Amino acid sequence: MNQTGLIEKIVEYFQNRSDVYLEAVARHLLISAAAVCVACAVGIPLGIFCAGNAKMRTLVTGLFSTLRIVPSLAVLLLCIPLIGTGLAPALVALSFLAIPPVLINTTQAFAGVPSSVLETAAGMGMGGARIFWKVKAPLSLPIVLTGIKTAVVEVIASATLAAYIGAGGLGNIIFTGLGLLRADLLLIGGISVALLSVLTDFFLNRLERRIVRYRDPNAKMKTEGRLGHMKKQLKKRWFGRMTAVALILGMTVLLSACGGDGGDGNVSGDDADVGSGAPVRIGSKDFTENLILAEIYALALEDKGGLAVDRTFSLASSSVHTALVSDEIDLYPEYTGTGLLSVLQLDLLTDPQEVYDTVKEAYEDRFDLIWLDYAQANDGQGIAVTKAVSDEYGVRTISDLQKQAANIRFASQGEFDEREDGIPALEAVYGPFAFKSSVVIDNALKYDMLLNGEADAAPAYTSEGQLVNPAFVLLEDDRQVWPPYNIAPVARASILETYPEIADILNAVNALIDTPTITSLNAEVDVDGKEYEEVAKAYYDSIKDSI
Amino acid sequence: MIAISFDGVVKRFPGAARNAVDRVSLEIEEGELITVLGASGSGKTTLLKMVNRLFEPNEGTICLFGENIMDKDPVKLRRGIGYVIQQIGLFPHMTVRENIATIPRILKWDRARIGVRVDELLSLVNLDPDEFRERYPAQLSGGQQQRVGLARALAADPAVMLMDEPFGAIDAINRSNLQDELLAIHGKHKRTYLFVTHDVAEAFKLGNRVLVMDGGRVKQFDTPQRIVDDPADDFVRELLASSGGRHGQSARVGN
Repeated sequence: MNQTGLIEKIVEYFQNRSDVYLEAVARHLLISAAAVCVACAVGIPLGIFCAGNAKMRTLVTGLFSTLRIVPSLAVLLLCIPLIGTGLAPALVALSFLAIPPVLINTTQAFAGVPSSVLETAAGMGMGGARIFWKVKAPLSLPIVLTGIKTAVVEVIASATLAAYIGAGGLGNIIFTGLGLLRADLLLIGGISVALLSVLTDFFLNRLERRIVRYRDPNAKMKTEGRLGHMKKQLKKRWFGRMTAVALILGMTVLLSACGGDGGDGNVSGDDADVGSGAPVRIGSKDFTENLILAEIYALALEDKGGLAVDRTFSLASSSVHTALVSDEIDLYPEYTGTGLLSVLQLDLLTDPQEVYDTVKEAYEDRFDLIWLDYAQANDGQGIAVTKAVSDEYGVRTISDLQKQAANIRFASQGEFDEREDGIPALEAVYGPFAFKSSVVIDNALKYDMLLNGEADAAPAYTSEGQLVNPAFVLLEDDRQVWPPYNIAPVARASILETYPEIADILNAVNALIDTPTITSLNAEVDVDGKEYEEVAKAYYDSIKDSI
Repeated sequence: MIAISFDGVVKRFPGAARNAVDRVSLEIEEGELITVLGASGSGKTTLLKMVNRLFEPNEGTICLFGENIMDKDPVKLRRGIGYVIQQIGLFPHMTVRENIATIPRILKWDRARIGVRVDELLSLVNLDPDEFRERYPAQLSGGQQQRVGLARALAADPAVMLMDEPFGAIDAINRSNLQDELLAIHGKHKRTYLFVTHDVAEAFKLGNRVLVMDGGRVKQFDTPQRIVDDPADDFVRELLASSGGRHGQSARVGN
């Protein structure tokens, strides 16, 4: 991905998607502001109370200092079983994050009001309430404001994570960018968060200067050294911000680089050509289904072929093809649609046989790689809805979904809204999908959201294990928008020459694998929590006699 | 008229071995400037703070102008009593003008009257109103701060002034000037002053009567001249010897 292309993409994003961007910014600010308000509502009164009570002070500040260590992502995830997904748990988690600085600073500020000032205030005839509002509160304000500022900056940074559980905000753009390995989205999201943080700090400082007419009463009189120290600290903070921005930029560039040429370092393998007796190196992608398939292939080759097998599993989807081409693995389970669209970057086709023939020919020409026979199993793109909604609105196909969109709450994982074969492809054929609402959520949580009744429809893969649950209905792609993603092993030509039996064995295995089969295998791992090796072994044992 | 009277006053702090103030009975005439002289722990500050009810006695009664202070609302009582302490305790977030205007504002004086009063008080404590009115306490020296503290205490023209070692942290030259100014202010308005100090020379210079305290009890309460002429006991005699007499160098009790 070259530099000009990146900038063009960013410009293009702002031209076409500025409404999405502005909404994300507004949402981000709203969540952050709400969390800080909650933190103030809890932290300030509690802090004032603690200031007047030494025991409470030790207890509460100790507790909240400890809480600060808990990562906000952990708090976010802990919230899900308690309050579900979306705005509420994000607010709870971010408020938890924001309370400590507000609470601790409030306590210190109120406990630090000089006793001589309080004594003369009482001695000259000011009542308790008057002392509080006219003396304690204004004297504590600067330190309390500093605590609030710390909270705001922390919350704005952490609100990014809120997207993970469907609360929206700039995190949506970042997570979408991560999912698609789109450096432009990562840059837009990352820099926006950093800028928001720096800008709010700047405006809060200006606001503080307007409210607080004096700062440290001793700073001016006592020593210049103290002022110098404060300036140094300010500089340090700016340095810290800038470092953060630089880090985000660096990470983005790194990520886009990794996406471009694959992570060769991930692959451990033997560079030597496969000779007689050399093991067959089987690779896999990093998700359940691909792991199960690769393990089944491995077991079959060991059992039927008597071959030694080297397993190099769980490669990033983006790097597994590169690993095969660069002779670090010999074969792995691939999907015809992925070969067509992602690897070969050809135009969309929807007929399974046509897709298979196309990729088989092109792979052999371009990479000297062989597609073995494809399985009936199709792990394609799909949309799942809850059974309840399917029944209520009569939604069985994607055409039905488009007609009923106004009644449907959609839970996307972000990239689906942007990806060429996601919503844009659907809208081109079926017409616009004006969902009742649409939230972005991490892919792993979408079925929880549907089960909790927090959304009605979500993007799905057609062989996902959760779909064995009768509470979900997989919609039929009645106008054939999506390409087939039939499963087939892709192997280096050289290994097939060395061990011709591989093709026969794997073709025999693949012939048995259809969508219901792989879906139920996926379910055993993803729903029942078994190990993929165990599931693959059990399945292989059940079929080995029919191969 | 009797401005302040103590009758059998005892103050005991929880957990303390002995009474901080032990059966003190005395009367102070209106317009007197009484200095209370004693070492740390003699009970002099405790005695002072019972007058404006920052502390309350365990036994005995204290009356201001014949009225038992326990019958009054403490907040209202304090508004009629000026209070100045060594740490000064100016409000750091308020200007000099706002500090001095605190009690007049609470008493709902009108703005013009407050403005006139602030300037009058600043002149009284020898600070140029135009120069100092809008300054913050942090922009003042220690001596200037205590002048403002004094002006603030005098703002509502209280009948009684309580001063707890007000010049204790101020350098010798400034302290001497402040003492002279305090005498001048007292001479002009003839309010009743109770002035706590551990500086023998200060006590004898300022007080028209000196109240010598030790161990919570009154050792002698008389005019400076009569204390010099006729010390009540060995403690007072040693006190005078240590200071080199009334006109000697500044000396501090117990130091």
